[in-house]
Amino acid sequence: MATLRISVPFGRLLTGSRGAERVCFRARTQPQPDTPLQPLPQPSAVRLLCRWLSSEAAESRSSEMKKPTFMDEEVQSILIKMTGLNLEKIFKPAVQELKPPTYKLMTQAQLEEATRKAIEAAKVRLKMPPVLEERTPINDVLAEDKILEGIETAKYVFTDISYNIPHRERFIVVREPSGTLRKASWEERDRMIQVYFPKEGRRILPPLIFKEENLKTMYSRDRHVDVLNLCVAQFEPDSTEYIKVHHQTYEDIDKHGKYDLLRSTRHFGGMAWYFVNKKKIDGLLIDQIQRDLLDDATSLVQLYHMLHPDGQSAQEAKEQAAEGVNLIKVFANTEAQKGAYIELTLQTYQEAFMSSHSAAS
Amino acid sequence: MRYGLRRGPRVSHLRLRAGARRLTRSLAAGEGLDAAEGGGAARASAWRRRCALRAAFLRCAGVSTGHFWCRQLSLNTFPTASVWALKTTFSNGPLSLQGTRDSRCFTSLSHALQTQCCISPPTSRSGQQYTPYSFFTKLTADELWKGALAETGAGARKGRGKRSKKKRRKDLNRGQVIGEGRSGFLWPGLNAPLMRNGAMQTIAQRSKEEQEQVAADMLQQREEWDRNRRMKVKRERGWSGNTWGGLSLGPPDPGPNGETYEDFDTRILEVRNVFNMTAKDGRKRSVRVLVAVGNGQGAAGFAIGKATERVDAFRKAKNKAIHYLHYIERYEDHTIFHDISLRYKRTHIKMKKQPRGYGLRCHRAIITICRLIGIKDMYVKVSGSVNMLNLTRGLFHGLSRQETHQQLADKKGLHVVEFREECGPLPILVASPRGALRKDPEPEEEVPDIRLDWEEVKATQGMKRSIWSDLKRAST
Repeated sequence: MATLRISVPFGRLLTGSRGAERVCFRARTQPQPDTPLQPLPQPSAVRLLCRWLSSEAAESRSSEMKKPTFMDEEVQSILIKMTGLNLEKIFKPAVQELKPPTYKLMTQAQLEEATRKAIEAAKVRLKMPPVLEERTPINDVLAEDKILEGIETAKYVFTDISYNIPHRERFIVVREPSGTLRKASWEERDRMIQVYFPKEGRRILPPLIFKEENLKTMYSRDRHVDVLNLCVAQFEPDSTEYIKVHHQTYEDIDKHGKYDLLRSTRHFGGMAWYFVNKKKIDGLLIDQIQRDLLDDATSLVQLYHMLHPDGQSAQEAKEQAAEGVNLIKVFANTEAQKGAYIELTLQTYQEAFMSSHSAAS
Repeated sequence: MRYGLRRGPRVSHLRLRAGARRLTRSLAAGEGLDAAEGGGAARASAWRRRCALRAAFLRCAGVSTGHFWCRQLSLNTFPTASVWALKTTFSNGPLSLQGTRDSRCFTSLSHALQTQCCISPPTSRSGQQYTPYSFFTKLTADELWKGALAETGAGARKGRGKRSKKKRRKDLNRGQVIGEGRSGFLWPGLNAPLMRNGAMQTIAQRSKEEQEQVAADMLQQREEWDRNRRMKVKRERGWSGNTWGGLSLGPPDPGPNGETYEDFDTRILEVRNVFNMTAKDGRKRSVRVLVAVGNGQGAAGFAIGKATERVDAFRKAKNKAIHYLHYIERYEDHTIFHDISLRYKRTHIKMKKQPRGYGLRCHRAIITICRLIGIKDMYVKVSGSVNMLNLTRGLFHGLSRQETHQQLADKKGLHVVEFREECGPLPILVASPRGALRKDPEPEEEVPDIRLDWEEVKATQGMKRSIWSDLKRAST
C-alpha cells in the first residue's frame, strides 16, 4: 500500500515544482504511521526514497526560488515597462454608437489631472490576463450503477447552482446512459456554468472564429488583438483552447514580426513571457532595437537571464557584469539564433545615435 | 389678292370654307383655294393654263404623291422654272394619303395645310392629288406657320394660353432631296452617282417596287422624326417631382476678368411667380428665384434673381450669388463647432453638432445648403415661420457667427479639451490659447446657467408623443 501511495506522488514530481513540496510532505508523513507496524525492508526503502525525494525537493525548492513565475513582482514590473503606455492606442475609439463630444475649458493643472486619471484608467485596462499551466483532465467516476443502463437515452448533467460557491468548487456531475455517474469534464463544466451564470462576452459554445481557417483570416488582417480579447472572454485561462490559441497567435506574430500590434495592450506581457520561456526572443529584440527601445531590450535580456540563469549568456553576463548595450551584445554572441542580425541592428542603431548626437552637438 | 392667314377667326372661316364638295370641285377643276374664294374668271383661266403646264412639268419631274408645297423665302428654281418658285415639300404621308381621297370635313387647319393642296389634274398613277399653285404656295413657310401657330394673339397674352393648345412648328422640308420625286427618276449628279466606272450615267427611272420602297422608307423616317420630337425630355427631379427646389444649375458663368467658378455648384431653393400691377398691362408676371452656391469646402452664398423668364432669373441669381460668398468654419470638415440656436425674424433655427456618420437630418433646403457648404453631419430643427428666404438668411447668419475652438481658447485663456465617449477618459487637447494661459479655472456651478428648451426637455423625459420623431428617413 505504501509503495502504491508513493508511486503516485512520484509521477507527480515531474509535473510541477509545487507538486514536489506536496510530494515530500506525503513521503515524509507516510512512513511514520507505517514504521511501527511493518517490518524493516519497507521502511528503509521508503526512507531511502524519502531522502532522495527530499534532496530532489530541496534542489527544486532552491531552483524554484530562483525561477520566477509570471506573477512575480519583478517579472510583472519588467513586463509592464515593456508594454508601454500609449494612451492614444489604449483609448482607441471603440466601435459603438457615437455621441457628440463634450468640451471643457481647463487650466494646465486640470489638464494634467485629467491625463493622470486617464493613465490610471489605462493601467487598469492593461492588467494582464493570468498565464497558467494547462489543467489536467478530470476523469473521476463517482458511481457505476449498471441497473440504470439502457433506461435513458441521453446524458443528464446535474449542476449545483448555489450562488455562494466559487465556480471552481462547484459540483457538476454527469449521469451517462450506461449508468455511470462521473464528474463533468472541464469543457462540460465551462458550458454548464455559462448556462446558469452567464458571463458577458462569453458564449455557451465557442464561436466559429476559433477555427483554424478563420484564425488565419484574422491574422492576415492583423487582428491579433481582437482574437486574443475574444479568447480571454471565451475560455478559462488554464483551458487547452485558451493556451493553444494564445500560442498560435504568438507564433504568428513572431513569424511576421508584428510585435507592435500588441504593444500597449494587456497581451504584450503574456507574449514576452511565452517567448522568453521558449527562448525565442530574437525577433522581439530586433524589433525593440529598431524602434529605439533600448531599455526595453535590455530588460528583456535581463528577464531572459532571470528565467534561464544556467544558460551560457547568463553566466557570461554575470562574469562581465555587463550593462545596457553590452548585455545585448553578450546575449547576441552566445545564445541567440539570429545573433549576427542583432549585432547588425545594434550597430546601425549606434551609428544613427552617434550621428544624431554629433548633429545635436 | 394674296390670301394670307392673318387671324384666328379667319382660319376657322377657312376651315369651314374648305368644305368637302367645294374642295373636290376645285380639285377637279384644278383650282386652288384662291379660286374657291371666288377669284376672277379671267385670272382663273390663266391660272388654269399655268397650272396645267406646271402639272405636266411636275409629272415629268416625278413629284411624289400626296405632297403639298409651300413657297419658301429662298426662291430656288428649277431649270425650267415657272412663275412660282417652288420647292417640293412633304407632309404627313398617311394623313395626306387619306385626306385627299375622302371627302370628310377637315377638323383642323393642319389637316387643311397638309392635305388640301396636293391637287393636280387627275392622274392614273395614284389617287394622290396635288395643287401646284394654291394658297399655301403663295406664302412663305414662316408666314404660314405664324398663322397656324397663332403665337401672337390675345389668347397668348396675360397668361391666358393653355399649355395643351401650344402647337409646335415642324420643318417640312426636312429629308428632301432634289431629284427625288413621284416618278422615281434617277438624275445623275442629284440622286444617283454621276460617274460609274469612269462612264457618265444616263437618266434612269426606278422601278415601281423600288419607288414604293423609297416612299416607304421616307414614311418610316418621317415617323421616326415625329416620334423623337414627341418624346419628352426627362427633367431631373429635385426635392420632388415638379418642384424646382434642389435642382442644380451647374457652376456660375465665368467672370469678366477670366475667373472661372468650376468647383462651385448652384442649387435652386425656391422658384416663385410674383406679380406686379402696372398701369399699361395690368398684372405683370415675374419669376423670382432663390439660389445658393457653394464649393463644398466652406465657401457658400445665396442670392435671389428676378426676371420675366425663368431661365433669365436662374442666370441672374446664379451670377449674383457668386458675389455674396460666406466662408463657414467647420469642425474636422464634417460638422459645426457647437450647438447654435437662433431666431431670425420669425424663423427659429436650432442646430446641433453631431458625430461622423450621423448625416444631415434637417429641412430639405438646409440639407441642400449644407451639402454646398460641406457640412456632412448635423441636426437642425426649424420652428415658427419656414419662409425660404428668412430660413436661408438665418442659417447663414448663424453659421457665420460660429466660435471656433481656437477663438474660444483665446477668449477664455484656457485649454479647450474634448472628451469622447468612445475614447473613454482620455482628454484630447483641441485648442490652446495663443496668448496667456490663465491659472484660475473656469467656475463651474452645480446647476448650469443655461436656458433649457421645453421641446428638448420633453424629448429627453419621454413626454413627447410625436410620430415624426425618430422616423427612418433616407440617408443624408
